[in-house]
Amino acid sequence: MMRVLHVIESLAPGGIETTFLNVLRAWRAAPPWATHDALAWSGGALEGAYQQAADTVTLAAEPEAWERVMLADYDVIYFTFERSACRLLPFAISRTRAAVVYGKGYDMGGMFRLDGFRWQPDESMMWGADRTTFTTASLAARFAAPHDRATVLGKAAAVERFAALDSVDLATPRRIVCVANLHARKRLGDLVRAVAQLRVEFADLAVRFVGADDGYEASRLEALATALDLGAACEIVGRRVDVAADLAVSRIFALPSGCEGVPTAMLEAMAAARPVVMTDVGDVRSAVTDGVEGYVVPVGDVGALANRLRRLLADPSLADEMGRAARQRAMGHDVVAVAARLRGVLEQAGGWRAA
Amino acid sequence: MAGRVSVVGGIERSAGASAALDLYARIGRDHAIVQGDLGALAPEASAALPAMWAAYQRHWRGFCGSQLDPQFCHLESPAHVTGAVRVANGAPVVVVGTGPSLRPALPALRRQRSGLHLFTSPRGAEVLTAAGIVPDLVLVEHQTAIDAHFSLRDQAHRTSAGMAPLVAADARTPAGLLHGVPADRLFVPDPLPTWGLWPATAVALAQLSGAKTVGLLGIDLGRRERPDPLQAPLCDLLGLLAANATVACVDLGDRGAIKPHWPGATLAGIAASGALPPLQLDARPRPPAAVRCARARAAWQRLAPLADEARATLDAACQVRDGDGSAQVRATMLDGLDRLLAAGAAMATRVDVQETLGASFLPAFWRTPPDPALGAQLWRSAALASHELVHQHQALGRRAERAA
Repeated sequence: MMRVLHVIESLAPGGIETTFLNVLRAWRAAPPWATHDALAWSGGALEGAYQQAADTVTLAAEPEAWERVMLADYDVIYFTFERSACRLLPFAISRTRAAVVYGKGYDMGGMFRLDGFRWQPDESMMWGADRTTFTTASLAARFAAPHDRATVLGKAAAVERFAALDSVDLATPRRIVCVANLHARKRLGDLVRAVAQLRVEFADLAVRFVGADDGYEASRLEALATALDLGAACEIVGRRVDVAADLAVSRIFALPSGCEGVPTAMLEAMAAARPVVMTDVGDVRSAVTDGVEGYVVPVGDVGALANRLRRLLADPSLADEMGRAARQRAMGHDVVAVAARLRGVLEQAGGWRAA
Repeated sequence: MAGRVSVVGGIERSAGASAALDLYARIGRDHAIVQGDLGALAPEASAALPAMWAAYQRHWRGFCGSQLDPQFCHLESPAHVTGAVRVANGAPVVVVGTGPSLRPALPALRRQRSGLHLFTSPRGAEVLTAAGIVPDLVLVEHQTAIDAHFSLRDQAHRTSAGMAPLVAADARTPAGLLHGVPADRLFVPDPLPTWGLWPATAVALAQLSGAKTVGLLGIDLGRRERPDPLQAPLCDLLGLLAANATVACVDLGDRGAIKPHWPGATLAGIAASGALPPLQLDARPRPPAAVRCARARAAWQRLAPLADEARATLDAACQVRDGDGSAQVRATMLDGLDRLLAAGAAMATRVDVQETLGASFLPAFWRTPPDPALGAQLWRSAALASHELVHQHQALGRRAERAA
């Protein structure tokens, strides 16, 4: 059986880590075709889940340990983050016989590329690797990679898990949910300000923030909510393993972020038939058409954010209609299909044929 | 509290501390591939060398990349002066990070503020100013160009950094990150490449400032019972800095990982009594942007033959990759790769490739060369190193043209 090593930067619950975990789970649920070992620089909340989904998980913080793992006669080594790749990929291609595949998603190098920041090592690694995968065609178009050796996988999310949720109706509490790590770059304060404006018309409106705190953002949001007299209407509930329950008790998903690719949390909310209100960042527009599955507003425009939220709050049938459209579109991001495409790339790189 | 900066001449360093810090800086610049490249060492530095070199190899494989500037930001750095800071009468300096031990210490820090100098990062400045504390010095230093761009997008840090009386910015800092900083508060710290990790640089600045005590607060590196393995490099560097210091180094945080050679202490225990005079900056002019650009252009010209070599190697590597198994193409590729690797024998070339071009992969291969037994598979190493070299050389050429 083919042996694959997946190099992941950390096992903290970020978008790429979560998506790749779901890919591993999809492979695990299908007939086995390879052994999957994971190598990460550091652990995190997904450690247990990774240990279940992969054959082995090695946490190693020192180059000597990374190198020892990579030398263990793998058929393919798959890199998923630019930082770890930048340090480890040169060793993988120059000291091992494993085929090397560089996975380019919306890590920082990917997200920053969208706004014109060109970090040369990112692209050079595509020339040194045997193959490259891109999350979206839009991302691929921004790199001058050897395109005959590149494959667009599509953005994946575990959408099936959310497809069973009831769509929005009048019984759904008038709550906006935002699932994101709590960090300044997410501009979550913009949503707090928009909700404060809307509370004049919708006295029962609440906003719920779900995500790990960076140590400072939660207290900043709390202070802002207090200053704007939101009180208990601003709920900061911390990180969740499963956000389905939070989506079920919310009418709208909103993310006012200033820096994204195609957010996994947004796709999950769409699969749960929630209309989304997003900022025009990254490749959000590759998954959301303004006015169809929700709305796309300029970054930092609190007035536009409030206006779009108002429209959905005032018209539950519109919210329901957009939510259903969102669900339909999200189904195109099924992780099983992406896992199958990635399997094809890894098999081809490793010189294996699918059984 | 420190006020406006006055610029004075001359830098005084104690010999022991200076020798160890200079060695530390020389290793961190990545000019040396073997210990012999470091040249003659003072006795104090010779004693410190084995531990420093071992840490450099263990954590970075002999290449920490602290001087890489792939975006060429140093060419438009707005700082007019370079230098080092000095405290009066051995006043204590606290290096403040944003780890969990900072928040509970903020009330005590506010009480003791007048008896301490505070050095911090832009993020630390944001937290401190929100708590009503203005730091004396903000150090802007990023490990990689990606980290710097990340900060650039995070608007919130700028204002806080600009409020400090002094801002020490690594020469590779994007100019956009320093927009709010008045020119008379900004300087590039003397070469103290502390291996790309800002707390180590801040500690080195403090040790050279004449402070009798240097403290850490909010530099936690994990929890006491569970140190963060990712912070092991910084933990080791801080240990080296303290082990070779001639000043007292203490850890003021009460919940972080144990740091070797940093015994615990309290803010009240180290604070000076009475208000401190402002920090002094021993400054001298930096080469102006035009001179920096001229130097970059000269390096670009010196590197042109190597870039041509890399271009030919890249072409051959792509042919081998695409299945051209002819002996001639393979020989072209392997010979080209050999010549690129051999170029690293000259320190001047290493400096040009690393510091002027900001290339990282060929320098990595100078330290850990590709395995010759890989045969045709060496197209990958050849393509990786030569692609980066060719494109960085082109990018620098465009940049130099624009500047001209």
